Amino acid sequence: MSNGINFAFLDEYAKREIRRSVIKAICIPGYQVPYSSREMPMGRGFGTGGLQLTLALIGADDTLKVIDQGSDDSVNAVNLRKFIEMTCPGIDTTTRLQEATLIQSRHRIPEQPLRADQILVLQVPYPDALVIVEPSEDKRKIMHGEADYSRLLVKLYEDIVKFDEITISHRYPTRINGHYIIDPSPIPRYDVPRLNHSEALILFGAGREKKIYAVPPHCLAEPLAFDDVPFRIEDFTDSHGERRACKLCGSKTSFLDEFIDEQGARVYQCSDSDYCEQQQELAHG
Amino acid sequence: MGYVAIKGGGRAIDGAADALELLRTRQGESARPLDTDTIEKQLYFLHSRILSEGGLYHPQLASLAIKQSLGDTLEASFALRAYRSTKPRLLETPVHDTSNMRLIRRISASFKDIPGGQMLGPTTDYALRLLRMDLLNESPEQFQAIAKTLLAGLPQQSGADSFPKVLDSLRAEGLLPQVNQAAREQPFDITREPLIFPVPRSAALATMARGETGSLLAIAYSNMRGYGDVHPTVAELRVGYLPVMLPHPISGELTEVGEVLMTECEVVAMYQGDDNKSVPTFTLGYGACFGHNEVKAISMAILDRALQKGMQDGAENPSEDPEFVLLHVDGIDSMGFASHYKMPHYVTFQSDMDRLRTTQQKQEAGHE
Amino acid sequence: MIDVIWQPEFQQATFRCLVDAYSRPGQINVLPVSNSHSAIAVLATLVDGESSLSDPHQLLDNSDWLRLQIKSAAPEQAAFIVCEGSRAVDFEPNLGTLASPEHGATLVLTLDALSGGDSHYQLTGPGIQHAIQIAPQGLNKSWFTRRRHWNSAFPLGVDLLLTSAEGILALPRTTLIKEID
Repeated sequence: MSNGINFAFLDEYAKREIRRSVIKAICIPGYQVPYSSREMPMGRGFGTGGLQLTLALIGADDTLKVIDQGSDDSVNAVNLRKFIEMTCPGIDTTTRLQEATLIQSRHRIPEQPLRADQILVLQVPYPDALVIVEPSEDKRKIMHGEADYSRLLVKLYEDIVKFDEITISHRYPTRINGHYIIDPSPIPRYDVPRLNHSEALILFGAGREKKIYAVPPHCLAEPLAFDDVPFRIEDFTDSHGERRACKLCGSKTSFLDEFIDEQGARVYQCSDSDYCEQQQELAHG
Repeated sequence: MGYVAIKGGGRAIDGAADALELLRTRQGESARPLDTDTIEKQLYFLHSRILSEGGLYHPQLASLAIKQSLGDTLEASFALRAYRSTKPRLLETPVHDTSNMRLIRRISASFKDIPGGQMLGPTTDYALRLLRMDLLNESPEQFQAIAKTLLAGLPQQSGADSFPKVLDSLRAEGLLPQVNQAAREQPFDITREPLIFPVPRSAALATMARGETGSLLAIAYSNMRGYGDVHPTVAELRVGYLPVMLPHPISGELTEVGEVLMTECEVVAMYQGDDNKSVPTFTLGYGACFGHNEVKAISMAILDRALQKGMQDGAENPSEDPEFVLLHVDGIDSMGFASHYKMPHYVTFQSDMDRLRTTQQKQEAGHE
Repeated sequence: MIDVIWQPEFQQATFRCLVDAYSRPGQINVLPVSNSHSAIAVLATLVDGESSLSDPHQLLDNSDWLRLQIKSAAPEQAAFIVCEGSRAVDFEPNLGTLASPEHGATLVLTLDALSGGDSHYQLTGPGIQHAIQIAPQGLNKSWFTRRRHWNSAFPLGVDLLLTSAEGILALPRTTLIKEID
């Protein structure tokens, strides 16, 4: 290979360590397995944890999709995809979810359902849901082991008392298989229910914080909530009580990005660009 | 093989790379590209810093990293660190005794005279920080003549260039605790194991050895100013070349494979009683890193002492808290995360707006 | 000729089989073709000098140890333990701790076959949509009895991998195993 770079960049010892960690992550759903996390040639915080997972998983017969904020064409997604294409000769890349075997994503789970033969890798900036109530990792590890989440629940309860609403917008704490509570990465609340009994394995990689965790397929994933204050996804209804639609494909079910157009009007568009394009193709035959 | 067609994002990245390359080369006709030797010699301290923060002793590639990153210390160390990820570990060195260093500089603040003598060596400590305007128009001929003249005036090297440690005499006198044999166990390897707290001292030392100079200095300075009470005395600061021994791949016999430039600092702090159980002694702080980086080595030694205190008695100050110090001094981690906020965050921001609007609506409804 | 199990491409493909196997407990996954037993192929994929391995039944030969670049550890301490599944359990593996349950061992058992055995077991738990049945051949019953004990206090426990010439079948610590009469 040119530049003397290994297939998938990492040396085989680094891959083996990640592989051992991935297996333990699957065996202990929601537990953050520590790993040594090598430096990648892109910034910590730009998806190096997800990238290391992808590089430990990928083989020449894989078809890869990389998305950032739902888009295959955002600069960071392009950058990661280019790097993986450069270091993994032989792989295919795609923007179509259905063609992908491996999907690396930041901040979104694709709109369309995943299949059993696909693996979703999510990039994680903050792996630990307990960090808002306990800064010491030493103590958090014990709390996780004992499934002691009382302080987190108190925090949510205080929110409700103060605002009559749970104010956590994204990174919504989610309990996996009735034990560990995870930070599901900064996916919107809209995506959280799709962690529950997913067909595909979902892996989480936090490079800077050096953690790997997993939600296996067909595994219980419950967003934290109270009986009288249910978990709620983002609300896209307008002032007339109508669900807003994507201005490009007309979808009234997808997660929408909101922005201000040239005329100063507020407009909405699918966040998942692949889904949006496929909807438009269907509409135009 | 299929590739995703390049659209706006891809073009923007290519454009950014071109713009950066233009920044590097825009000097025009008088331009000469920097060669790696020049960087290593004339940007000696910058080069030292990259060797140390990059955590890889490769002088030529450290120069290359400086060149391609236009002198950004964080970026250059980063490139060196990422290069390290592609290399397997083939052999491990045994623990090295730094009294074997070939010294270029060695001082002690605790004693006027030390066995072997003080050796000021290359330092700016006593230099007047006045701009040397004559360097503005230095010709290559003048420049080349300087070293020649200086070297000609030097006496032939005579006598030893490695010296015993100042600490040895303090230890012999019983003013310092004896070397803890338990600490000679296999050191913690931060490149192969994540830090899970509590961590041994060797993990703390390794983390700080490739930590970012400014971060170490800031936290050590907080201790010096009163958020802590180390009150150090520099027992010895030495800079020099340490011969590196590796087991021969076949015979297993230790063989010298080269030498590394490094800085080492040992500070002594006020004595500490051990709950009346044993004789009080001074306590030690240790700092060492690749390259010639004195401020870093001193900061590290002070933090080592502060952290040992925190590990023993509980942290009362940020500089004594191993999690606080060790998880925040790595330049690669911290600069990466600071930079990532420049990436789009519109999905999470959408979600934030939804929560804020809902909460505002509820409060307004409540006030009616 | 050095066997393909020591090649990065083989290990990547085998790792994907392992990921699938642990994601879907009870499912039999066929490994890529090699000249080695699945158990050795799995070890080649996951183990090196930075891990630890125990071989109480001496299933590995000298050249395997050399290629794995690892020294033998006692079963009580090892991260990986490779055993003959037909023999009774005669050690207590590391179960990990509450703070670090990932230190719970991975037990790689060699069997005659992964199906067609006399005893039938029903599996439920994460990764299993509808309860499924397995009937591993020649498995000493003490493994599942001891496993129940080892895995009685989640998150502590061990993760099993049954291996045979035909492939692998994973039983992570979260899988509930019930013998069917």
